[in-house]
Amino acid sequence: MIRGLYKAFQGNIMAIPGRAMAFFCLLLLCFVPLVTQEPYILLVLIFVNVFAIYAASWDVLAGFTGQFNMGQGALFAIAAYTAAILSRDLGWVPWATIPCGALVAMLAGFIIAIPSMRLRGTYFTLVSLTFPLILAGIVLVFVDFTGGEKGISGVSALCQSRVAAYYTTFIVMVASVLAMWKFTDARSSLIRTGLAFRAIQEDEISARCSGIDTTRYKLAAFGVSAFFAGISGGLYVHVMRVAGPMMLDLLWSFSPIIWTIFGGMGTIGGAVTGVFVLYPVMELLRVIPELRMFVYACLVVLIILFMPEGIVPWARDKIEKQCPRCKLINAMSRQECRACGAHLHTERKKLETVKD
Amino acid sequence: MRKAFWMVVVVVSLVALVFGCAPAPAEKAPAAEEPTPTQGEPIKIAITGPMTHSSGEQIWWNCTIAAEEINEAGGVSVGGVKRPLELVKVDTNELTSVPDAALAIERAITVNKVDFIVGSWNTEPVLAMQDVAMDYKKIFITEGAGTPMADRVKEDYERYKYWFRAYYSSKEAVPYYYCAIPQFADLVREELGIETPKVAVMMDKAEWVEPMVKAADYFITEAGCENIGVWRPSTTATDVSAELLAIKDAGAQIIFHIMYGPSSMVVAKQWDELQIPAALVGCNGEAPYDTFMESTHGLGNYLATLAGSSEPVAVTEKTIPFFDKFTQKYGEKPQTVWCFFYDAIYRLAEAIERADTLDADALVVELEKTDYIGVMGREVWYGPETDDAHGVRMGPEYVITTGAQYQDGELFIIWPPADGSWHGVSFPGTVEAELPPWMVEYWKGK
Amino acid sequence: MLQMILLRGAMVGAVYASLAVGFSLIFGVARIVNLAHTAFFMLAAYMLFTATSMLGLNTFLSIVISIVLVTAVGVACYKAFLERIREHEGAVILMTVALALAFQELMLLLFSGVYRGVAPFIAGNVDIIGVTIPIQQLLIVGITAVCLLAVAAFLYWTNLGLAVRVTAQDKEVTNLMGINGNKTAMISMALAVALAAVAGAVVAPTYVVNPYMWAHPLVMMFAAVILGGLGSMKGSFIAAFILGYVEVLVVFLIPEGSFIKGAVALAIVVVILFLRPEGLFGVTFEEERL
Repeated sequence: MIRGLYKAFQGNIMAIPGRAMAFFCLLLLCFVPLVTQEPYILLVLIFVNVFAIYAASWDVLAGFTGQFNMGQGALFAIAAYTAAILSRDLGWVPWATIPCGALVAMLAGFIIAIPSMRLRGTYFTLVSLTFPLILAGIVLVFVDFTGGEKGISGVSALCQSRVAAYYTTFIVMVASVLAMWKFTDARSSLIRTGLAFRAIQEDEISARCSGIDTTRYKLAAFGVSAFFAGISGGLYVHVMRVAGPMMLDLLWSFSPIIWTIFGGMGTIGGAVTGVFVLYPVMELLRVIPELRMFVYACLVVLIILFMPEGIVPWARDKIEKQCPRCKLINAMSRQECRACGAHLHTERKKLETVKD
Repeated sequence: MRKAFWMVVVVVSLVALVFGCAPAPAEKAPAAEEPTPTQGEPIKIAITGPMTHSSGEQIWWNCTIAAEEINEAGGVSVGGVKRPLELVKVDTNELTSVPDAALAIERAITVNKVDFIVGSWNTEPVLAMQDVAMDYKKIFITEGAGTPMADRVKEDYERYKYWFRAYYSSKEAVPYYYCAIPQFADLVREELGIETPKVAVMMDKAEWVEPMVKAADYFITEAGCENIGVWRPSTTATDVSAELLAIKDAGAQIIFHIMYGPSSMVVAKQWDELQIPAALVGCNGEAPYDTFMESTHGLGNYLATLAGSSEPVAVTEKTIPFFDKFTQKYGEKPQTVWCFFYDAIYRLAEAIERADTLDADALVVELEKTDYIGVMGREVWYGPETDDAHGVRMGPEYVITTGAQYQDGELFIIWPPADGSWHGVSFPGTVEAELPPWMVEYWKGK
Repeated sequence: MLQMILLRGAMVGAVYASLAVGFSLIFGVARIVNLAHTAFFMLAAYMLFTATSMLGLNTFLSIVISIVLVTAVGVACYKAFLERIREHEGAVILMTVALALAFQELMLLLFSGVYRGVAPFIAGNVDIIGVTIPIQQLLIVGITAVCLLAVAAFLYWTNLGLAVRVTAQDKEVTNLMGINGNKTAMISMALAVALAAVAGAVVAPTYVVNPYMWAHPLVMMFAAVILGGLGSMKGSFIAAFILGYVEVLVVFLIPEGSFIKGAVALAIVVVILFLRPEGLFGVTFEEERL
């Protein structure tokens, strides 16, 4: 049994360089509190964990169904406010408020999704921009319920200690990201939804002809996206202990988009990587407060210019190679495919131009 | 591979640029000019705020002057040792991002190891920062006129007692904001013969304004006027002409406005442009700034505003010398609303000397006993049982706000009135309030 | 009251219209969702401020310089940043967001967050059917009308305009016909940014010029574009006015709620869209035809 697990580990994780690197990074993250207990660094990593879930939730919808939700902040905020109200007024613990918040967000996601099905591509993108603003209007009108501009404060903390909070958010992040990844991975044999999404993206008509109910899958993607945005919203509110309308600012909705596209859309790992790279960079840039945002924006511009697919696909391109015969992913350093033995590097060399 | 090479070059140059531009990690208050024998470790105070914004800049300047003065006089004496004050500039970016603010404070406390935190004013981030500061039991003196911070002190004293408000809360200031109405109502009665002037209320949709809105009816009727309607534009409105024209339609003689942010400048410009025949009084966030008349290109004359007035009046004997020193050093007039931070540094220093320790719990007791005469008046804090826990008290012997009006393109003090009719308090240089001439013309012609 | 609503609505609508039509143009031709569109609008306002207040130049000259310079910047940005990644939808969106943020920060650095003002081109008011209108606002309507007519004339009466329109309809066939797709995209970008710059310059005296002024018009512009129907400039134009009127109506009918005039207008857009998904005058694009 141990040997079976070990073999599975070898085959599924170690053999693929991208996954191996991700695994080692996660391992490193597990040990961070043993190296430093500096509360500031742990807090940064806590935020990174929470926002990684947030970014990945956006990727589920955008990268796999092509629907760019520019108002993800609205879903985040709905869950955050729900969790805050439940915590402050009913005294519920975070283990109860966060799933509740996520479920409410999921409900909101479905409510938005059903009519949105009828909107094509860019229409949906632009309409989604209005969601946080409309929600902001509602928040300001129902002041007694939502605290209006001052928000809801006095929300209970996630955990008693910083280290506990770190591990909690870390575990939730790993679990959520794994769940989202399995849900969307086309190669998964566990859940076939990923395959369906791939099929819908490639050719919707053929997919429908094959019996895939595209509407149901799109709705499912919406629900999952909203649910995990909600999880991150609930976690966030218990870390910050304040929920307020600043969550409905434009930048808050743009952030997961920036992180995900930077990291690589259509791969959950890309979204997570994007957050892990960009958020600490933002923090490091604190040394130059006036130039901070400017340098950040310029950095993004340059990276996107040279790596329009995002950094993860770019990096993976360099270290991984897909077998031409059996389509399995191999390490770039290999000469033969590990499954079928075919030669991996079979591209023709460019011919030398003959000079007269 | 070439692309990758250039990528690396670009990234490296960017990084070099970033660190090349980085100033010294923490801007500190410069040491005293003469070599004063201050032994002892510096007392570190984090000065927080949106440092790239003018408010943050003013907060930093006010605190810096205070710290410099204290250091020049030898420092703060604790346990028989004189210790200098060291200020750490912390940019919370609180206008844009709440997590940024919380992280900034956390960093200041755990990495920079500051002893006290002074600054900040934006309600939502301040609430988050308050929790962080209370977690570490650090004395946290902020501005921001909203009420929730004080409510928490009252409800959970043991945890939140370390928080103090550098100035008064909006609840406390309500009667002062409304002083303009009886003043201008009298003018309207005298000059236009209208017994019951109509007042239109125009207020930001913002949390700290809520107590003002609720009080509107009371103060308006007290002054013998009629409240003909309430308009609530958003703080970022770029066009309030619809509101103004509706107000004109409703026949108002006085527009009582409380507006901050871009909309405050818009209202002044459009009020003058459209020649709305009503006196624009109240509290305008942008008006007190030197650049106001420049930015509006001369529009907005006769606007009357309260609070934040940058015209120095000798509230106490310290006020004018401080104003002059500040203006000379920074080339800009201080905005009185941030001068409370200058006094706050002094209040903190004095409390430290009285308690003779840096221990937060002991200091809270001393701070609550504060009775300090600063540049803004006599500053005393309300106790924890009151509705305005740890807020500064207002009143004729304590702290007041003055009212000013633009006349001939310059700001003059008009309230408290020169005749001393308000509790015998008045300041030299006070002039009479005036109604805008186009308004007088309009109503006389009716 | 009614006249006030009619005239004020037209003013607000005119601003949104010139932004929306420009955006529609670039989207229709190059399929670029340009989130930095209103950032150019802001740049023009700042340039006008610099030219008039800091360099003391004559107003007319300043306007021309601002429009020309901003258009040049827009085309440069397109060439340098957008052309290479045109095919990657996600990258384009991110790039334009980042550009908008970069411009915002640049303005913050150069001008600080202090609110700036620009003097009206012609000061004073006129009384039209009992409503006081500042002359500047009439200028806004007038100038935007002229510019939009000029763009329409270009599109429908010149060969280059024909190329632009045709590229919007069917890129592949246009390519086959020998029309350079990249060049037409660049021209549309120039036109679109020019329209945004005109809007910025003309509106600057009535707005408060600050580095964040691009956010609100961006959302309203999007709302106008999708309400009108993507790909239809006529639709964007009409929808912009509808939105302007809704905003003004909210202020007049619910004074206590004037802070949500934006949210109400947007809610209406969302509702209409759910009932009629292609917008009021939506056009089907070639690649979306199944």
